[in-house]
Amino acid sequence: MKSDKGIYISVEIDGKQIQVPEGSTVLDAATSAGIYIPTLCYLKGLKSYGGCRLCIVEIKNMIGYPTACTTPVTNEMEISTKSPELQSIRREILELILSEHPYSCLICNDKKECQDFMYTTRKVTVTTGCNFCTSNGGCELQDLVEYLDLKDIRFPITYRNVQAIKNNPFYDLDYNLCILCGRCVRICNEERYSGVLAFVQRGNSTLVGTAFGESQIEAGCEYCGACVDVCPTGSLSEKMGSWVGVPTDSTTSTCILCSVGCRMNINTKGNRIVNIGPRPGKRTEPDQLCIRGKFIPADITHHPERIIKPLINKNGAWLEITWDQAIDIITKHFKEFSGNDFGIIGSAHDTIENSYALQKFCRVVMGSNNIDLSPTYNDRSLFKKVHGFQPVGIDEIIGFDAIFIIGSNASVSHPIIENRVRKAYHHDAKIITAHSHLNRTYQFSNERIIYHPGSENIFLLQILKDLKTAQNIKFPKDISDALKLIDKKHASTATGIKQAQIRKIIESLAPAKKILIIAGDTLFKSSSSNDNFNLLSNIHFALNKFADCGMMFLVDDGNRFGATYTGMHPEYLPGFLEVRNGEKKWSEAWGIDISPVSGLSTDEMISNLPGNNFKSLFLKGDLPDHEKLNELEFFVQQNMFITETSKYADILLPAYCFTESNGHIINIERNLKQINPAVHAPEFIKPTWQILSNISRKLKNKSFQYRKTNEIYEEITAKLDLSIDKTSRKTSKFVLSMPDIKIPLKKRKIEMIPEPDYFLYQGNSMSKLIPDMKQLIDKKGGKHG
Amino acid sequence: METKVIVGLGSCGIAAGARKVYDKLEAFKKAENLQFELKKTSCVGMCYREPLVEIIDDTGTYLYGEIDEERALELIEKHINQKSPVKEYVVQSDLFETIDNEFTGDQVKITLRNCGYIDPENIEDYEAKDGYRAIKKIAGYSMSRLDVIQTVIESGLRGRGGGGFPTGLKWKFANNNKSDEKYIICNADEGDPGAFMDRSVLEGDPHTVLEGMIIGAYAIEATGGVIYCRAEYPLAIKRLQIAIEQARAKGYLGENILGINGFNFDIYIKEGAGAFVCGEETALIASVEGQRGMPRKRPPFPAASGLWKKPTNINNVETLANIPWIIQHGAAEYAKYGTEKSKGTKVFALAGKIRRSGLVEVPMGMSIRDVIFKLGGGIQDGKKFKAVQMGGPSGGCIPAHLADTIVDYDSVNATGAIMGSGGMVVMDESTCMIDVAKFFLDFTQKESCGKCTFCRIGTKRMLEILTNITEGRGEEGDIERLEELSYQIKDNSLCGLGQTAPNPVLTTIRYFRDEYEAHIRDKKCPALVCTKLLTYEVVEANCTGCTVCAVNCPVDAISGARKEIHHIDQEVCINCGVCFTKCKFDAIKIS
Repeated sequence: MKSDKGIYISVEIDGKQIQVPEGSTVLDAATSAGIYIPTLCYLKGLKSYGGCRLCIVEIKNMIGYPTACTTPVTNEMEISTKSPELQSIRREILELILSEHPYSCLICNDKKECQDFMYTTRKVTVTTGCNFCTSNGGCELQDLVEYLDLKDIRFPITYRNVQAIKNNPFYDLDYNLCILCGRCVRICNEERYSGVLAFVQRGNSTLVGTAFGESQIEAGCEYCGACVDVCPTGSLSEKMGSWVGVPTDSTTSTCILCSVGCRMNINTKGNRIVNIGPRPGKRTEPDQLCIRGKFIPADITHHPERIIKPLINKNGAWLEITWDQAIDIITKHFKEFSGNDFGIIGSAHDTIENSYALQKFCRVVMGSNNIDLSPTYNDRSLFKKVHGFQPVGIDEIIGFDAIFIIGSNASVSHPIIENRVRKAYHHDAKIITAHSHLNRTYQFSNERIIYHPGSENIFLLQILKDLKTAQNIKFPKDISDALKLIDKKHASTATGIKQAQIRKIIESLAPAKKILIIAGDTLFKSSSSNDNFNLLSNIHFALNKFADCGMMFLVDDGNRFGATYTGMHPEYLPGFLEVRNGEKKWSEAWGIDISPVSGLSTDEMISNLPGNNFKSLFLKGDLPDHEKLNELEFFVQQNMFITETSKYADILLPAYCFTESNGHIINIERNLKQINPAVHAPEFIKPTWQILSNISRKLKNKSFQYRKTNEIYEEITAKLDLSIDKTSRKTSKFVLSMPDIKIPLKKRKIEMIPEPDYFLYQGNSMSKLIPDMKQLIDKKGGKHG
Repeated sequence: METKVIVGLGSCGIAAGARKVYDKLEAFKKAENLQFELKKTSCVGMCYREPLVEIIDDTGTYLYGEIDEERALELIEKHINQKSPVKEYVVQSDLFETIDNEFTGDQVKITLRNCGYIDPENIEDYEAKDGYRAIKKIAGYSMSRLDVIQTVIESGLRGRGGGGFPTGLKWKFANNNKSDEKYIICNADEGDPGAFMDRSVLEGDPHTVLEGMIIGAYAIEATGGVIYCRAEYPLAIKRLQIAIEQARAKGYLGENILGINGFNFDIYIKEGAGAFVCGEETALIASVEGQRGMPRKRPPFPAASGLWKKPTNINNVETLANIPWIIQHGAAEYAKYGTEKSKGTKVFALAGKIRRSGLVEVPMGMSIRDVIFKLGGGIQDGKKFKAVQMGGPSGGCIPAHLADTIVDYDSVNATGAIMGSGGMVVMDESTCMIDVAKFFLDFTQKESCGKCTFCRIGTKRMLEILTNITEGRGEEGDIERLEELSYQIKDNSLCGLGQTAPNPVLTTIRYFRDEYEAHIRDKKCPALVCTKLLTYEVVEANCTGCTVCAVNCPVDAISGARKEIHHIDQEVCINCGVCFTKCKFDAIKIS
C-alpha cells in the first residue's frame, strides 16, 4: 500500500499532526505516530481484512465508523481514535466476540491469583477447572480485555461444542476458541499459498476448516505452522509447548535443518522450549518458518530417548560410564590407531566450529586426512565449484522475471525458498519447473516438465542445444560441434520431453531480464553429477548473454557449505585449499606437517572395510546401517540417540542439539549465521570440540586445546575469510567447461535417483524418531509433499 | 386467423400444474387432429389464478384462469369446437370487464411488457415485440456511448436491486475508468424471501435482459458479460442459455455487433451456489471468481476494480430490463412516470395474506394502499390489514396507518423500510410482528458470510433475545438492548447485509412496541402466534365429548370420558395446537 512516489501527506490523529506516505492506511499512520489502535484481525504483511471491526475510528466528514485498517488516508484528514463513543463500541465488539469464546478466564474472580501463582496445569484445573486453553497468558483477547477494562459480559456464554482435533501431527486445533479473525486462513492462502485453510459454513456457524472436512494431512497441509504462529487465541497451538505456560525467554538463533538457515526465535520457559516462531506478541517477526524450524527442534531437543551420558557397549548392552572413563578408553585406542588407520565422519548439521575442530583434530592430533561428511556428493569438487558462483539471496528470488527450477522437490526440501518461488509466480514471474516426478511446485508453474527419471543430463542438453540455436549464442567450437552431434529425436525419446516443450521453455526465458536457475539436489546426487553441473554452467553462461542470470544450488543440510569450507573434506583443507598441493598455509598455522595425500571419503572408509588398513572411526551423528562397520576395530559414535548403527560402536557419547549449541553456520546464501543456545543441554553432555580437546590433552598434544567455542571461531576467522564477498565475483568470468556428451545417447546410463529422506538431523531420521513426523510421512504415502 | 392457445409456463404456472395442462393439450390436439396453434409463454403476473391458458381467436382474447387438465379439455370442446367461450373461467378479456381487471387496470408495464405475451424461448417473438430495436437504434443512429449514458441519466432510472443508485451515473463511472478489459454483470441472485420479480423477468423475457446488458456493455465499453443467477432458478437459467445462443446466432452477441466496429461482447452465465450475501456486489464478484462469497471493503469500488480487478458494472435484472425500453422510447417518455426523485415503474411481488398474490408493475408514486387494496384486492378472508413488509430481510414493516405512503425510494426509506428489490409481504391481524422480525433476522443471521463481528455474532445475539421474548423469557430492558445492538450493527457492519439486517426488528419496535411489551411484561402474544405464550382451554359450553381432541393429542394432555366435557392438563400441554385444529365444535379456546 506504500506509495512508490514517496509523496507524503499530512493528517491529524488525536490532535497530533503527522506526515505519512500517500497510500498508507489510517492504521499505518497511527502506528507510525505511536498511537495504539486495538486490532484483532489485522496482521502486518497480510491484506487488510476489516472483519473484527475493533480498529474503528472517527474521521471528520465521513459517516459512521470506518475501520482504520482498510481506510486509506487522504490529505488533511482528521482522525479520532479514542473517543468514549469508540471505546464503548469496541467494548461491545469485544463482548460479542467473547460471547462466542469461552471467556471465563478473562473475567474470573481469581484472575489475578491465577496469573500470579498458577502457571502449573494441575493447580489451576484442581482449583477452578478452567484450564481449557493452552494460550493462557499469550492470548490477545486477554490483552484487549485489559485495555478496554471489560469487567463483565452481558451475553450468556455460548460454546460451539465442536470436537477439538488432537490427532493432527504437531499442532492441535480447538475451534471452540476461534474468533474467526481469519489470520490463519489468510496467511495459509496469501503468504504460504498452501490453500489448506478456508472458511466453511456460513452465518453464525462459520468456522475455519478444510474443504470437505478433510484432515489437515488430507487437505495438503505442509505443516509450516504459519497458522499457529498468527493465531491470537488458543485455537491453534503447538503440541510440544501445550500446557508449558507462557514463554519467559526468547532466543534468536538459526535453523540448521536445511541450508536456508532461517532466523528463528526459540521461546522458552525454564529449560523448556515452549514454541518456535515469532517473538510472542509479534506474530510475523521473524518471518514464518517451515515444518523443520517450527516443530522439529522442540521434538528432538526434548526427545525422551535422548542419551545423556557416555555409554559403553558390553556385548550389545549399553552401560553408563563416566566421562573420565570414556575419555580414557577412547585415548587408549586412538593412540593405537592413529594416522591413516583413523578417520572421522562428521555431519553437515553442525556448526563451523565443530566442523573445523573435527577436521583439525583428525589432521593435527591423529595425523590423518580421512575426514568427510555423510552423506556425500559424488562430485568431490562440487562445493568448490559452487563457490565459484555468485550466491543469490533468498529475498532476491521474488525480483526475478523467470525462474527455472530443475531437479528439485523444493517444497519439501527447501520450503522457504520454494515459498519465494510461489510468491514470484503470483507476481507474474514465469516459473518453469522440471523434475522427474510431480510435486507441489508444479501448481505454481507456467511450464511444467516431467522428464524420465535419471535423464536430467539429456534434458539439460536439450535445453542447451535449443538455447544455442534460438538465441544464436556463440559457444567455443568444441561445444558447438558436440551439440551438433545431439540427435533431437533421440534426446526426446530419452527424456520424454518433446521438442515443442523445450521451445516453450526457451520462449518463456527469452523475454526475461532477470533469470534464476534453481538447481536441485537430485542433479548432484546422480552419477552424471559432473555432467549436470557443467551443462548447468553452460546454460547459465548462455542465459547470461541476454539476461542477468542467477544460480542457486539447493544443497541439503544446514551447514553443508560451511562444513566443507572449514575443511570437512578428505581433499580440501579449510578454504578449499587442496591437500595434495601441499599448501603451507595450514601447516604453518597449526605448526605441523600435513600429509599431502588425500584422505578417504565416507564411502571409501566404509565400503573398503576390511582390508584398507582403516581401523578406527569417530562418527558425529548417524549413518545408514552398514554391516561393514562391524569390521572396525574401534568405533566411537557421538549422537543424540541410540540408532541402528550404534550396535557397531564401542563407545557412544551424548551430543548437543543445535538448540543448545553456540556457533555459526554458512547458509545457502553463503551468509554467516549465528547459532545461539536457547536451552541448556542435559548436565552430562559435552560439546564435540570439548571432547576432542580432552582427548587431545590426554594424548599430550598441545596444538589442539580449546576452552570455549569462541576460541575456535577466532582461530577460523583469523585465517579464513568467512564474510564471503558477494560483489567481487559479479564480474568474474565463468570458465566454460565441456561436458562429456560424445557418448551416444543410447549408450548413456539412465539411473533412478531415489527420493531421499528429507528429514534428517545429523543423519538421524526424524520420521523414525518423532511420532508426529512418522504419522505425517505414513499418511502422505511415504513422501511428504 | 388461426386460433392460438397459449399456456403460461412460468415456474409459478408449472408449480400449479400448467406443464400437465400443456402436455394434455398437445396430446389431445394431436390425437383429435385439431386446428389451433398451441404456444407457450411465461407468467403474466396473475400467480393467484395459475394455471393460465389464453385463447386468442377472431373475436378477441380470453385469458382463462385456474385451468386444470379437465377444464383444459372443456375449453377446447366448448371454446374451440363449439365456438362458445366459457365465461365463468375467464379472468381477463378484451371484450368484457372481469373482476380481475382491478388487478391489471392501474398497472403500467415496462419491465414486464412482454412477460406472459411472448414465447421466451423464441427470439422471433421478442423481435416481433420491438425486441433488439433499441440496440439497432444505437447502431443505426450512431448513438455515442455518452449519448446512451446521458439518456439513461435523464430517464432517472435508479437501481432496482434495492440500492436505488442512479443507473446512468453508475455507467458513467464505469465508462470513466479506462481499461483493456471491462465487465458488466447482471445480478440475478434474487434471494429475498417472498420476492420473485427477477425470476419472472428472466423466465418470461430473457432477451430484454440480454439487450439491456448489450446496451450497457456498449455504453461502458465492456468486453465481457456475466449473468450471476442463483442455481435455484433452473428454468430461468435454461431460458437464458437458449436466449444467449439465439442472440449469438443472430449476431447480437459476438464480434462487431450490428456492424458497430470494435464492439465485441459476449455473455456467460455463472450459477450462484445459494448464498444470500452474494447479492452484495463485492461478494458476488468474489463468487464469480470462484472464491467464497465474502464482501470486501470498499474502496476500491467495482467500477474501478471489480471482476478480475478490472472495472466492473453490476446491474440488477429489473434495471437492465428497463434499458431497451428507455433507449427506444426516449428518456422523457420514461421519466413521465413516477415522482420527482423516483422515475418510471417498479415491479412488486405481492405475497402473504393478500387476496391476489402475484407480480404487479406500477408507476412510482402509487400509494401502498392502492397496491394492496386496489390491485391486490385486499386481505384474505376479510381480515384486518396490519402491516406490509417491504424490502425483504433488509427492509422493514410498514404499519397499516402508514398505508398511504407512496412507493418511491425516499418515502419508503422514511418509514424505516426500504424499497428493496420489490417484495411486498402483506400481513393481517393474525400475524405476530415479533415472529415476523424473528423470521427475517433468522434468515439474515444464517446468511451472514461470517466475516465481521457485528453481523456474525450481533445478529445471533439479537435473534436469541427475540427468541426469548417469543418464548416467554423476555425481560425488561430487552427492547432497549435490541435497539442498542441494532444501531451498532447498522453502523459498524462491513457490508449492506449487516448494515440492514436489524431493519425488520427496528421497524417492528418502532411501530409495534406495544406488542413487544405484551410479550415481555404480560407474557402474551396478542396475535396468538407464539405457541409458548398460548394456553389452550376447553370451552365447556361447546364441548360434546367427542374425544377427537384427546385421541389426537400427542402428549395425552387431554382427559375426559366419551360424551363428557374434556379437560386439558396445562402442565402436560405443549401448545402444539392439534386439538384446536381437530375440534369441529369450536370447543377449544386459545388465549
